[in-house]
Amino acid sequence: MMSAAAGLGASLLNMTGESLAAPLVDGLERNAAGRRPDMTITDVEQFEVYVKDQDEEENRGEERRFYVYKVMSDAGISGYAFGRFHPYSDIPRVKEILLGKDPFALEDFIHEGLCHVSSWENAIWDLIGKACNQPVFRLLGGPYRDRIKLYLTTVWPGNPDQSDVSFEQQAEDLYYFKQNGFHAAKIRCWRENPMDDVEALKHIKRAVGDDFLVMFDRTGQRAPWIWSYDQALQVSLAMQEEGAYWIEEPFERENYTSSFRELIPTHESPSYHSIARSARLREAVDIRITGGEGDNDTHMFGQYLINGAFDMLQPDCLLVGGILTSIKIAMMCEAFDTEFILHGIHGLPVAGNLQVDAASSLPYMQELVMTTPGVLPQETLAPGKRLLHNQDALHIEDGYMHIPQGPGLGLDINLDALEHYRVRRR
Amino acid sequence: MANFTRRDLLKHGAVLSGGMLVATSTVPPASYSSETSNMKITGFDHFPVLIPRSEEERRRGVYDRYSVARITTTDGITGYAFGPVVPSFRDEARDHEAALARIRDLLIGKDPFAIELHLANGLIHYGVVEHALWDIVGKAAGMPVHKLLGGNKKKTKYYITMVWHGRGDQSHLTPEEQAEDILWYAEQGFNAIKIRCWRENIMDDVEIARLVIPNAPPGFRLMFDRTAEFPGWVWSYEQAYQVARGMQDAGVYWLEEPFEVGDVIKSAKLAHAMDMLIVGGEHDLGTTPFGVYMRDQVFDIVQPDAQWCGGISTVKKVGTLAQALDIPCILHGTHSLSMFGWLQANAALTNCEYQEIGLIRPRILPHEQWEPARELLDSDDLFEFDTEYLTIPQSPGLGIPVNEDALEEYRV
Repeated sequence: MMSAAAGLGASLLNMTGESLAAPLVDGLERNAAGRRPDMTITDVEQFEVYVKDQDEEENRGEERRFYVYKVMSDAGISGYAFGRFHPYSDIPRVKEILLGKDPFALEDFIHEGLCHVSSWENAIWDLIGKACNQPVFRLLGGPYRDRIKLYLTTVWPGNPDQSDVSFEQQAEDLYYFKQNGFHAAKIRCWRENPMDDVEALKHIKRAVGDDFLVMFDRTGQRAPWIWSYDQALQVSLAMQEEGAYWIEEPFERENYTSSFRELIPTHESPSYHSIARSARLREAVDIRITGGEGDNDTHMFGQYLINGAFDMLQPDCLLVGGILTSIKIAMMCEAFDTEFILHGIHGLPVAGNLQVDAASSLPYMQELVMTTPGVLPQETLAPGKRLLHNQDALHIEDGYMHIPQGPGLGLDINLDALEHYRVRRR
Repeated sequence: MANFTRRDLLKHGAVLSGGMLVATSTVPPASYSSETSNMKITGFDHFPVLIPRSEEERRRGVYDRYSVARITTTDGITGYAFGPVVPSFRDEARDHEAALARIRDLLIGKDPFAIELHLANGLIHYGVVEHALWDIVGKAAGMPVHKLLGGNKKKTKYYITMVWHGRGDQSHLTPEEQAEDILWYAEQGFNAIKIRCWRENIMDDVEIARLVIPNAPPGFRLMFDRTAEFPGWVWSYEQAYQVARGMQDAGVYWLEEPFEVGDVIKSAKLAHAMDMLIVGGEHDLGTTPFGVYMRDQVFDIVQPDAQWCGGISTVKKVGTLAQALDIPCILHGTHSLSMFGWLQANAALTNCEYQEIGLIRPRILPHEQWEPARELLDSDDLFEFDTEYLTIPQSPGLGIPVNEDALEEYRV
C-alpha cells in the first residue's frame, strides 16, 4: 500500500510542468504608496479529487470527493476553492467572463452570470485574499466572530422519508452528537403522517434536553409531496409545542435557478403562491419558518424579505453565487431584522461559508450536511485534510468550528497532495 | 498509541487516516495567519482644521474649514477620514468631547478590521470614524476600499447641488436670476444640477424649472430638494402634489424629500401618483428605514448619506437591498475631502449613478470651492474630474494622500 506521504514526491513540477512554488505568504509586493499591483486572471481550471489511496478502506460518512476550482493570475499566484460540482460545459462561459479581467471586479462577474457557477467566486476570493495577505473576512468588515456553532443535518440511510428509522433510534443518534459536544441538529419531516415526525421530536427532546436545538426540514418539493396549508399549520403548532427550533421550507420552492434545477420539476418563473402561504403561516405560529436554500442571486431574497415570507433566510453559499452574494443577502436581512444562517455543505467547501460567518454579524450557526448518524463531522472531514498543510484548519471544538485565520479562504493547500489525488480524465 | 481508541484520538483533535497519523493540536496553532491579524487600535482623534482664507473668498464659497478623524494602530498604519464626528442635525453633535470619549472606549485596543462588530457596539453613529477604519483596512490590504467590496468603477458621473448665499429659501432672488446662474453652469458643461424648493410661494420654484429646462443643452437634468422639514415648515399633500405636477410637466428629473422624515405614507402616495422620481433617505441611520422605504415604495431612489447612515458598510448594505429590488441607490452628497470616502462607497455599488457635490455657491466651481484643502495633501489636486465625471481614487484605503505635517500645522 502506498501511503499518502510516500505518494507526495519532492518534485517541484506537476504534470503540466507548472511550478509548485510554496504558497505566497506576504501578499503581492507593494509600490511606494503601499498599493498592491493590479492583477489579471489568466486561466481557470476545474478538476476533481478523490482522496483515497489504493487498497485504502473507506469508512462510512467520510467526505473524499471534492471539486477543485482554480483561478490563475499574471501575478504568479492562484486562488483555489473547493466547490460544488458545476458541469464542465460551463467552462467556456466562465473563461469568457473572467479571462483578462481584474479579479476584484466581482460585482461585474456576478452581473455577467458568474453567480450561476459560484464556486469560481470563492476561488477568486482566495486569490484576492492571498494577493492582499488577508483572510477574506477581514476585507469584508470582519472578524465578527472567530468560531461558529455547528448544527448537524442528519439523514439516516434507507427510506428518504426516514419512516424505517425508529423514533428511539433518531433520539439515540442525536444524543450521540450531544455527547460529543454538539449543540444542534436538523432532521427531515417527510413521513407520510406528519404527526409521526412530532412523535420523533418528543423522543428526541427527552434524550437531548432543552439546551440542544432540534430543527425540521420539509425541503420544499424535495419531500415526497407538498403539505397543504392546514397540514403545515398543524405540524408547525405541534412542533412549536414540543420545542422545535425551526421548520424549514414548509412549502414548495418558488423557482429554481440552482443546480438542483434538473432534479425537480418547477415553475418557469415564480408564482409567489408559496411566498404568500409561507408569510401566512409565519403570522400564525411562533416557531421560526425558514427557507431560501434553492435560490440563486439576490432578487428572490429581496422578494422573501419585502413579503415577510420567512423568519430566517438560508442561502446556500455555493448555489446562491458565492461569498459576496451570501454576504449581500445577510446585509439585506439586516434591514428587515430577519435571521440569516447559511445552508450547509460538508468537507472542505465549508471554508467559503466560514468567511461569510466571520464577516457578517448575522449568522449564529453553520449547517453541516449530510451528517451520517454515528459519524462525527471530524471524521467526515479527516480524509479531506490530507489536501492541506494546515491541519488546524476547520478545527472543531465544543461543537464550534474555528474560522481559519490564514490568507484567502485560509486553507493552506498541499498542491502535491492535490495532484496526487486528482482524478485523471482521458 | 495502543492505549488510544479511535474516539479518544478524535477527542484530542488527532485524526487517523489512510494508515498515517496526522497530528493536530487541540489549540489551533497560528501557523498560517495573515500579517496583520494582531493589529490593534492605539489612538483616536477628531479635530478641526482651518486653512485661513480671506473674508471675500469665504463669501464667494471657498471652504477653509474641515474636520478630520485619525486612527492610529500598532502596525504604523494610520486611518484618516474627513467629516464631522456626528451630523449637525443629531443631538450628540452638541457634545463633541463626550462623543470622542465614547468612540475611544469603543475602539482603543481593538481590531480595526472588526468593523461589523464595532458598528453593532455603537460605532454606527459615527460614520466618519467608520470611514477611517475602512482606510486602515484598505491600506493593510494594499487596495482601494471599493475593490474589497466587489466594485470596479473607474469613474462616476456627478451632479452639483447649488445653494445661493442669502436666505435659505432663496426668496431673495427671482426665479430668473437663479435660472441665469444655472444656465451659466450648464454652458460650462455641467449637466446635472439640484437646487432647493423651499419658497413660501411654492410655484416660484417650479418657474425656475420652466425657465431652465427648455434653454439647457439636451440631456441636462434639473433636480429639486425640499429637504423634508428643514425649511422650517412642511408641504401639505396637496401642495406637494401641485408642485410635483408642475415640476413633472416642466421635465424635472427628481423631487427630493417632499415630506417630513418618516412620513412614508404621503411620500409613497406621491411617488405612486407621479412619473417624476420621488427620492429621499439622507437623514436615516442604519439599514432598517431603507427596508421600509423599499418595501412600501416610499421613494423611487434611495439616498443614504455615506456617513450619516453609518458609513461605507451600511451604504453597501442599503445599496445591495436596492439592487435586489431594482431600485437605484444614489448617495446623498458631500464635497472636497470627505468625498474620498464617498467615492469608495459609490464605487462599491452597482446602482449609484451619481456622486453629489454640494454645496456650490454660484458661481464658484467645485475645484475653486475646495482649493484650500489641497494644502492638506501631498498632491496638487484632490480629484481628477471634468464637468461630467469624477475619477475614483485607486490608492490604498480611501485614497487620501494626507500630509500629516500640514494637518498639524493647520490644526485648530
